[in-house]
Amino acid sequence: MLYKTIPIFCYIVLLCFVCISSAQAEQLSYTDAQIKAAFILKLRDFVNWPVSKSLKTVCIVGDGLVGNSLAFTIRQNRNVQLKEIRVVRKTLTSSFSECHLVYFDETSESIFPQILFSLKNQPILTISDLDGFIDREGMIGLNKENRRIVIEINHLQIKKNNLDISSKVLGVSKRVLE
Amino acid sequence: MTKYKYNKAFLYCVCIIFLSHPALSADSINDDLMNLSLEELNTIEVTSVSRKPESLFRAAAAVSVLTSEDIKRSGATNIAEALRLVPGINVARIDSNKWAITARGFNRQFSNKLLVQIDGRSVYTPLFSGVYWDVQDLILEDIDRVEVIRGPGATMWGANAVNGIINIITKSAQETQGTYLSAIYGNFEKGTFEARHGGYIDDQTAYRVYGKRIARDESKVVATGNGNNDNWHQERLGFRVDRDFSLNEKARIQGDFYSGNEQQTYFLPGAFAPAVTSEVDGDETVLGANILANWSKTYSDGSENRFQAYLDYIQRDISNVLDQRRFTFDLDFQRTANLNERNNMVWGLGYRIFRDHLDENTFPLQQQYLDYEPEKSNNNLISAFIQNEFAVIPDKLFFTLGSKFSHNYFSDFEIQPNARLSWHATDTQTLWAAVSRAIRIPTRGERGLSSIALSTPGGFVRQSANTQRNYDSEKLMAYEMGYRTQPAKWASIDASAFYNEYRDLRTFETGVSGFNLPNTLFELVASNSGFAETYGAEISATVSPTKNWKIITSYSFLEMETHSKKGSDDFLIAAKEGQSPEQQITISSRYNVSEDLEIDTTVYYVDELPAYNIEDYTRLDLRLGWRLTPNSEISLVGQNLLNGYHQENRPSLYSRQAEIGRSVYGKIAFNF
Repeated sequence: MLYKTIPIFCYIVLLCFVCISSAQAEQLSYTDAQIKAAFILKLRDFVNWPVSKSLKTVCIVGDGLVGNSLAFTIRQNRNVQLKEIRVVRKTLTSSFSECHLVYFDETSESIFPQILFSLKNQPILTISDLDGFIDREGMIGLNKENRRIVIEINHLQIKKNNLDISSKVLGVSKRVLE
Repeated sequence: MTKYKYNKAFLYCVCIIFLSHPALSADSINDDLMNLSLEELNTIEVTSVSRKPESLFRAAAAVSVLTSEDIKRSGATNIAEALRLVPGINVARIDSNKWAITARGFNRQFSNKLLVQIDGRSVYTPLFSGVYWDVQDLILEDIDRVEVIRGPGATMWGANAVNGIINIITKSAQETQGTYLSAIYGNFEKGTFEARHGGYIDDQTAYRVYGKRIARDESKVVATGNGNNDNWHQERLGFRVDRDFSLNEKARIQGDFYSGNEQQTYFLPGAFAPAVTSEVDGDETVLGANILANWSKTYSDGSENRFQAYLDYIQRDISNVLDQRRFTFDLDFQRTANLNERNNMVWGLGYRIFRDHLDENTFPLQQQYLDYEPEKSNNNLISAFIQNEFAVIPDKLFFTLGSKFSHNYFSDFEIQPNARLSWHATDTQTLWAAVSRAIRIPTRGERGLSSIALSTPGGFVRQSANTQRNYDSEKLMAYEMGYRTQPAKWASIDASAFYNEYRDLRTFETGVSGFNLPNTLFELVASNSGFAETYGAEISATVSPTKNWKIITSYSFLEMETHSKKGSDDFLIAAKEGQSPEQQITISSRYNVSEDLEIDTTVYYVDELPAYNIEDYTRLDLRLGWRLTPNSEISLVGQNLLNGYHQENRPSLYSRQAEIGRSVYGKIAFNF
């Protein structure tokens, strides 16, 4: 009895699968992770680093869709605009001295305060979409509001760390802490 | 024959499904996006949903996560010890190389109601459904997180996920770049060395390789106060390669190999004559190897396909008792899809083959302590699951319904459904409730094992499986609810309560098993005459009074009532009530004195085990961590500092009752 039902079950599952698959229309749409990654890369045009002047090394802490999107985009675009940029994954115990920008991804919730603490007074731009990032000494927060991604900036923290950010970014930001 | 056919049919289905999927791709993203101005980016709408792993805070189950930071700051030197921190998990160290670990009761050395996985590879032993914790090891630094689900999770996870699931997830090779070296030495830790190196093969492919050696000292025999002769060492090597084919398509291959030796003095009834239990010195040699491949791809509509296969081989030679060989092959497919705005469906198929060979030692009197029948077996497990999450009120109220359907080598067809409701009244609150059914598949031992339970002048009392094979799965109906809240940025509370009804629990009745072994006084035969109700609660709270200080506390409570059916003459199940602690309390403080200095203190209280006459105990662990340079760190750890030697549980088989003492060790680690 069972021997008959299992293949039938498989067949039904298979049918469901085909239905679901064919229903997947190819669409040009962006996930919030992709938009956030684009934001992060865009920001480099508006930030001035004291020594290198431009963004050379992007560090990612934690695992998540935004970091993956960022890492992949940079690695894929070696030829064009992002040629000079390197991506490095970091954890709590890593040295951050080479980083110009640190992105804290989904799984870094428990460790980011400690890392931020160790980055004090260093010209490293910190960005994250973790809740309340700029209220917890992060520099730039990315939030989703009504299906749009908005920027929040802790300008005080940016100035403290000897970084320069264009007023244009402050202009488009949803919230700025001075 | 028919069985074989139907396995083939199943495999065929899996292959067809896997291959027939149209290769969709939607990876090229950012060229358009990147050419947008900041203002334009600001206005672009998120039109597609990224399927995120469900946030812990919103999960409709009693989930806790240990992060790699938690593990490091606990001072634990292996996975089993690190689990002490998880609310509601009872970790009892039996001796130097054995642990009893479970959630929500029924704890013993081979706790058989828990599912443990490392990167998706199931590590419980179908022989007795328990876990050999001594061989579950990794470089702790490379563990990304340990997800612990208390309560049944059979629908999504499968066999054995009755009282809980422990899911150990390691970091990707991309996250473990560079070289890491560490060394541990102390009075109990007799030299642990870890080395790992990670690099890139090409732009898209990262790798890591690691090696680890551990050596630990013996515990102490309760009865005599002498050394328990259970010191051990183990060596392991492993690798992991992660490749990102594109942003949405990833694959990984990983593998481990280990080998080790554990001293042991066996307490063998009937080794040389009935009525005599002899102490015999011997050892256990362990060896294992596994390789796993996993592929996943996310599509533009947020759906995801995942395929995984692994091979696992274990070997454990217990001198004077049993030589075990087991080979496992497992295939899994899983698909997640947003059917529409409100329905998220996940379904999967799984197939697993076990092949084992058990070679028992025969004592001079032609007696065997453990007698397995048959000695070689070849079994399989087939499963399918489907689960849908329906947004009753989008973002607020979700209803999840699903079931697992499985067919196993022993108890045939099983259905394990669950229904869950979660309500997110505000962003900082989750209220959830669940009803689920789970089963524990009979073990290889319950299928055909006769062991000597007691040796008396008149002969042996044996515990045996019923060779008529009318032994069934143990069943659970679980009713759970929980509440999670984050009243302020610096505080969070997680509470859960459960009521579990077990049916068909294993009992041993006097009877005739069919084994017909000599020198038998009488036999206790496995039967399903037990039932039980358990209820309890787990509460944990995390508070950060200042930026540099975090306090994590938890309390768990468990009440068990076990019974046997009318007519049953079992006298063992009643003792289960007193084999798991009623109350456990953990208070852990993590203080960053400065950027470079960490002081961590953890206090554990574990209630008495009246069935074993084991007293309650309070355990204090201290850790001092000092970062010498950005790349190096030293730490000094004291474990079990308060009361020195104490007993935490009892071994299930052949070894002596032992006590665990104070452990002090120093650790140095480099990361460059």
